[in-house]
Amino acid sequence: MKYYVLQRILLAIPMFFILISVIFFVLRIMPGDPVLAMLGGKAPQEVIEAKREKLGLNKPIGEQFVIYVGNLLKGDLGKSMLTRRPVNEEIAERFPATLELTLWGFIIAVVIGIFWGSEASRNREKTVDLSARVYAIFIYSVPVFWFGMIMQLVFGVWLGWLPVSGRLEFIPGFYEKTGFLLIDTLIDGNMDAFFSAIRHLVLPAVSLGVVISSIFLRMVRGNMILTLTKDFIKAAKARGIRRGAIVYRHALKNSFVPILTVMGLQFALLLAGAVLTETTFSWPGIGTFLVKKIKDRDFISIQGTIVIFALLVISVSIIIDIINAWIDPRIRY
Amino acid sequence: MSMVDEKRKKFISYYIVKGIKELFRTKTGVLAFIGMLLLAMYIIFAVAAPLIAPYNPVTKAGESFQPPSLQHLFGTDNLGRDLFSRVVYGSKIALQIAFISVVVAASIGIPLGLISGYVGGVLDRILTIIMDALYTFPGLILAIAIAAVLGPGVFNVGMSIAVVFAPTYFRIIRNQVSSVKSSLYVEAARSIGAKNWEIVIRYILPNVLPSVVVVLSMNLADAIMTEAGLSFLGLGIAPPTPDWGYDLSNGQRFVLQNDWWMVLFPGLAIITVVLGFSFLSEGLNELLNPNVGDDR
Repeated sequence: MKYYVLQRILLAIPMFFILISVIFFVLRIMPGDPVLAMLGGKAPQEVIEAKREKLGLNKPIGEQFVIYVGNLLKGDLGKSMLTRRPVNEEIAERFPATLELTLWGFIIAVVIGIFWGSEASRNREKTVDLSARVYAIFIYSVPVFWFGMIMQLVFGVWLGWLPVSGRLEFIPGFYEKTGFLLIDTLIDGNMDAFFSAIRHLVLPAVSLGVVISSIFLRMVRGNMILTLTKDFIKAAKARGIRRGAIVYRHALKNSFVPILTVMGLQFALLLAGAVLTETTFSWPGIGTFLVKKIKDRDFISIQGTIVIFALLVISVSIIIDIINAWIDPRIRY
Repeated sequence: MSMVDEKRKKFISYYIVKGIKELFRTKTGVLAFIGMLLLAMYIIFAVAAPLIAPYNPVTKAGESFQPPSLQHLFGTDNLGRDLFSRVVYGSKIALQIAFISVVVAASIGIPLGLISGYVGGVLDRILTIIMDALYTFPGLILAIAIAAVLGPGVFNVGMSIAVVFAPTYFRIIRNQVSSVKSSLYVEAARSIGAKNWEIVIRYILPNVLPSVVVVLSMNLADAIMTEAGLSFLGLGIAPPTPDWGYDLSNGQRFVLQNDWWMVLFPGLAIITVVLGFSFLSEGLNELLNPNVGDDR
């Protein structure tokens, strides 16, 4: 197992390298000019040249690439063109908020996907199955930001139950420590703050979770239907094992590897959804950071944020592979 | 076959009626038909927008913040523009961008896939690695980055979405080509002296192209979603051009004052057009790969 983990991590290094190179070159080949975009069309030529030199954009593209990779290896994403603060720092401040949101969104999507998908697969063509299929195809067509706004309207404006933006209202005497508000508030023992954090989390997490759940649901249902036709299921039935146990203990466990793999791939979708959800709910995470930096035309920060997203996607794929190997020993060998 | 049938076969209408009859035999066929109806509606909206929309979509048509009424079916926005007219005109932008991005993505991905699969070797390795890297990356975020560099505009947004979709076509075509490359009919073509480009274009391409059709229609749906996302984030079409994603982000500023119509209708437009493409691709999928239908 140790060997497998090591091997998987080593394999990820070239992948990360390729990904960041592709991002670098895609952003450079594109006909747009970051400096022109930042300064606007009316800036005098000398100013543009000076800025270009300051950012190192006048060097040959090969040299720029070497500098960029060199800095990345040192863990340096550069300094924001606007605030002059290191991009690492700015992202680190906002990272916990995004992680909290995506994690809860993911949990909601997985719960909906696994339970509804499993129930649908064991009751083919019944109400639970047909409704699952209709739900999946409809929810797939719903943009997450639109769904979020409808939730804001219903639960925030009409019913007035839940807050529609931010992560916490101002509560005296509470300070962030880890940035994960659910944990921080509990460490503090500040129950008011804890419940406020939960109330702020509900709408964004549910919006993100529900929209992503359609894909999970489809996938679980499809895989479970395949598994339920296998011989060992027939054998389990013959031994008189309860149907619920067959579905959740035998079939689900055996369809878990493909499900988990696809879930890992969907993580990219979850991140993209998080950017939109954060914008809808003014959630102070990396998504809103990225959008703000795009409005400021701060290309160093944009590039840095994208590298972080790449790193996240790759880490998740490693984690998923390791979990798969742990569940199914055949993968390790 | 009777004489009547033989005669009827000369008319196109025979095939259309036969096609529709065929469609209604299965549930997915009915779905595909509904999908086509929805899409037909939006295509008509896009082509005949000036005839259908009651007002100019970019100028003041009445009081601001009017809820839906007979004068303004979908209400008016903060600048008093008629939302129904904006939704009708918006379908033009949405469909244009979707088609541009899918056509560009296919015309990058398919030739590269053909070459990569047919030639093989180092070139194939390198292209596959690059395309896989692009494929694993969150599409919207990549599109955001590219759109940020390119700036707003129909063609630019189309291009940034195309970059996201190109790897899909590349992967499908490349895998198919490398598997049919060694099949008998390719051998046969080579033995009668066909040149490499002839083999690729005249023999392999027609055989691998059908697998792209389903993806094509699904990508049109995804392109519309991505475009809406980009304009929601302020990276799409420059206002005041009517655009659903932009209207949604505009409407969001007024959610708290309960102006629900500014959010509801542009969103429903996105949902129905995406549903149209999804239904269509379900139907096409069943038509092209009939045996997998039951397992999904």
